[in-house]
Amino acid sequence: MLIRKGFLWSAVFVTFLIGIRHLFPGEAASGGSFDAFCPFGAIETMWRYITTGHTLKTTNLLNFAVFSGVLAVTLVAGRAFCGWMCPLGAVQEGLAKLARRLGGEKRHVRGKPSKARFPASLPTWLDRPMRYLKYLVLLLVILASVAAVYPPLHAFCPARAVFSFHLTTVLMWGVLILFVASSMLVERFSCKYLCPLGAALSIFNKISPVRLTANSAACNHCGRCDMDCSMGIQNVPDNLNQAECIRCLECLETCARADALEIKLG
Amino acid sequence: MKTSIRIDPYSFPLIIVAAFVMGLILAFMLGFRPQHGSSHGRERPALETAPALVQTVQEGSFYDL
Repeated sequence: MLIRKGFLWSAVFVTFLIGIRHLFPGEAASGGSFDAFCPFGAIETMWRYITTGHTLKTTNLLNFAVFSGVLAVTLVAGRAFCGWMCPLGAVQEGLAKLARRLGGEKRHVRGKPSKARFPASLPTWLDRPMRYLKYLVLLLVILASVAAVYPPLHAFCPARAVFSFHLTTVLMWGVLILFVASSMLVERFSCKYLCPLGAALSIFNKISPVRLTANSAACNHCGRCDMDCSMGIQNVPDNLNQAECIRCLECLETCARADALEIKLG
Repeated sequence: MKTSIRIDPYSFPLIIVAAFVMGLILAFMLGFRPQHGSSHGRERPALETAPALVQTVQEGSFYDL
């Protein structure tokens, strides 16, 4: 969906501006740090703020404002932030497309398997347990935030590595290289297996009022939606509102049957 | 009986933007605003001051706040 791409790349542009502003002298370089604009920063600094009234270093109250916006989206439409507004999601999709191009696929045809070898899918026996890794990351970050001075992910946040233009440590370079490589090898690798914000938001997929529904009478189980799902959800019509769905609506877009998949309120 | 309203997929982005903006405005109204420089003497967020406000209202000592 072209509108979604527009949304995603607008998010990239905004994040790029936030990252680049520190390179300029004067007023533009002042203000909150790069971390202060991160919605996940609110989760990282939550404990500190509740217990002491202060935020962790490099975060401030803006984190809560941005998180509030993201939470509102999630309460209404599930993990739609991941599919429509996350700059890292956009970069991952772009890198997956680049990998397909390098693999020999000139143009992706909807509902058809890619000719390129990469991005590949992990085998089910590895994919299933690894999906829980992001919940573990979330738990570890929350636990670490209790005794932290800086946000626990500050030193190895992929968003900082990609957008902050402040790659001062070897670790950050490592994170950047790993992020780029993993995104080209497996589509949305970070979203599927590592992102703690995605893990936190996924809880709301089951309860959000705006949700996808499948009309079993109209669906002929052709598998087109399975093929175009960037999150690698198998048997999409039966798993529309599971925690992994990022509400990108690619399944709805690729579906050839009228009314087989719909988006509904309530 | 559970009723559900069908949404045009092209309205979905508008729903997302509206929700995000409303969440952001709500947070700003509660005092979670961007901060610059030192935090000394800055307005405290409404959520932070709310318990103190309730306490002073109960005690009747408004002017101590």
